[in-house]
Amino acid sequence: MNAQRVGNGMPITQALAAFERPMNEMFDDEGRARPECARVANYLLAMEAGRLAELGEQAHRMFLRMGVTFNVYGNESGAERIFPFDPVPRIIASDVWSNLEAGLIQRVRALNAFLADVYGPGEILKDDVVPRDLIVGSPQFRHAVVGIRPPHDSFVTVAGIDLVRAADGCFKVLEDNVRTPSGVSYVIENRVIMTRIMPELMRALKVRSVEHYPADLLASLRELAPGGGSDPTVAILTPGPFNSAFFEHVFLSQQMGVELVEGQDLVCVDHKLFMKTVHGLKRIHVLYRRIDDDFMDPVAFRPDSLLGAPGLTAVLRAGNAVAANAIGAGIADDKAIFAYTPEMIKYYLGEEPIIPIVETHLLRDPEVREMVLKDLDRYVVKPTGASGGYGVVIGPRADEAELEETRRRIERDPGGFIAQPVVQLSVHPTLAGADGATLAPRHVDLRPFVLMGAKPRVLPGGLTRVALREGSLIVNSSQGGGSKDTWVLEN
Amino acid sequence: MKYRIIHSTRFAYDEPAYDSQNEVRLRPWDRDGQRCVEFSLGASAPASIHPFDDFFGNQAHSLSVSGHHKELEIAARSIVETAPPLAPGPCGVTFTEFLKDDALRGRACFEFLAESRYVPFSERLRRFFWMAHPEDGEDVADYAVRMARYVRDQFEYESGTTHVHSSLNDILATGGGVCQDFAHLTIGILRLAGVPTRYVSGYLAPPPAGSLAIDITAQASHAWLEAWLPGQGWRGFDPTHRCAIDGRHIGVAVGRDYADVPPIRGVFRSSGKSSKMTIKLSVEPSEPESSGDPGAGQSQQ
Repeated sequence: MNAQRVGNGMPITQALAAFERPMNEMFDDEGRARPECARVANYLLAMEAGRLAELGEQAHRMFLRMGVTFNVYGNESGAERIFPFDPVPRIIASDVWSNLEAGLIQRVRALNAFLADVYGPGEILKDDVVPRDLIVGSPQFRHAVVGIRPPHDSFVTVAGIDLVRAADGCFKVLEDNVRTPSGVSYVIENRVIMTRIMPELMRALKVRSVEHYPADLLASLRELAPGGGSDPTVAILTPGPFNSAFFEHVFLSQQMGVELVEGQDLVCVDHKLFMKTVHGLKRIHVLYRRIDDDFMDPVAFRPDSLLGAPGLTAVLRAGNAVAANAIGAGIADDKAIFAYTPEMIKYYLGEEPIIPIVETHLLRDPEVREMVLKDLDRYVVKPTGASGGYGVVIGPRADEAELEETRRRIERDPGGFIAQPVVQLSVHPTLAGADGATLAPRHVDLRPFVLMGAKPRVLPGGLTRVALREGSLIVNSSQGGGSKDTWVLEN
Repeated sequence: MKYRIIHSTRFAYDEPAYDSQNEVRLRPWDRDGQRCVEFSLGASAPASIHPFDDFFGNQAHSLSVSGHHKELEIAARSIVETAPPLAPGPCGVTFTEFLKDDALRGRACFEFLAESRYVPFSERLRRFFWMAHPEDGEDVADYAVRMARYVRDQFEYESGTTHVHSSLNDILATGGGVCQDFAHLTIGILRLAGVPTRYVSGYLAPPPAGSLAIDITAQASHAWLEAWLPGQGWRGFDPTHRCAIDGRHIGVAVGRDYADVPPIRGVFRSSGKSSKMTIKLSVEPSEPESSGDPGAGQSQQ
């Protein structure tokens, strides 16, 4: 059962070290509240001392009562934890969001066109826009699904695109998550809590709602019904309670009113997918799967996997069921492929990318490698195949021994790594301080969620993750990271 | 020539099996003068069968049997026409010239130049390669022929020394192997030399009546390789028989190595502990005039 290690864990990202002065999202350089934040700033400043800390406490108790938890890998006690929550909301102005939304849709459209291409005719490889060996040689490329094409080319039905805001205030893409991105349940739960602890502020500001996400997700999944069937059955496939995101699997199944199944509940008969119920077999048309490719089907992938459904790949190929996200979608969020995403947008859509990406260097190129190795302490190094932040080395925070080890690993397998310059993440006022009652700037990032069924649907805002400890570079939930509610304002 | 091939695989279980999900590669291909004019795939229990083309362009089948069964026979019957392949000869390109395009081929033919599960670029393989590496001025096609002979000359044909899951390190260590091992080893050498090379699973028809050729492989199920040669494209070589392929080689599927093209791969459920697999295979000329003697075909039990 090492699916839990391989699987996408809690959303993890890196708040990166500071060289330049980070952008403060609430206050400008003169200390004035930015226009979209004025109301929140006034509200916070008008509060009695200790009131905000009280609200934070109250929120914490609500999370405990609601049972919003996550599991921490490597924590053998297996205890579930509360994802720390900061009661200071993050505000995104409506014009900033409209632009982001357009950029996110553009991006996911291009990723889907790319997947339809590499698992189909492979035009982009013939045109050498993306080097063919990067695709075919990637462990994320699944030979077994070549030729399988989901309805609407929806290979990526659910995407979590990690954005950071640089010192100049511009959002940039840090990485894409198109396998089994998690974290959306926190967005919805955070909003429930905020509506209770700051009702007057929520009412005064027109904040775009997030509650409809499960309905949007269900609609997107239903649009994938094989043959355009009008009343498809949708189910969520989970690896089980040991998975770090199990809470979210349960949450989404309850919110959408669909079955939550494990591999042992599934069976493939006559090239159709069924779940076992007390009333007999029930056909499944669309499977929202939250387990990794490797474990989906022991015929096509890991023969020892008990988490998936034997024969599933053949069912998908026969067109009698659809899996979301598609098996093999991970090739689109491979860290090396990421470097080519701006080219992909131009190639498939004929458009300029709306949201730029964080500059990404492929270390397999000897000249690039030399440049990066010379100043390794200025870069973030990531393994190309991994997701969820595993194996990431942050140069400015690594000691000499760590850098030396990283250098050796790169020399041994140059194609296995990419490097990105350290990006100065924006900061946001956050409840902190020794007394736990002071506002202090802390690094934040943003994971918006994009749904792509027959049409795109974007959750306004997304998951804002915050590094709660002062100077902390990691907004990882297991290392003192937390989350904030993200408020996208209406026009 | 026209051949009739019957390839039957029977699984017998100590306790009933069910939910048997299989991927099958048993249909001879249609290319390079070979035509599969008739093909049928059947199972001894009610089965759902779907054909599909895999990543490597092979025609595969998904075969699933849901109900309980104590035994399962999967049988493929084909009639195949073959034409003698083009005779091997120099391609007129030396390694010095050939390797100028190495980077380009590294992209276009990545999967057939990189190491793979059964063809790891181990220290052992690299050492073996260095004893047999091509000369700069050597013709690429001549080298492929030379290697098909060289590998076979270094090792004994010994069934039993290796098994279906052997890697080429096993043959290098034990000094003996079967057709699959010779193919993997030669593939490894040609890939290290920069020649795109792929594994072929297929059959070897019996020698024509009256021929003095002696088959050291006592089985008709066979494995060889195809190397991509400049100006010639994919050409077949059979290291087990120290030669280029002839009209008796009947190709079924190509892949990076054996792992991509086993005739049957699958899983099943059962409360039992053991299952027994029996293979029956016959490849014989299908024209009456050339197969008057029904014993002319080879069969393997």
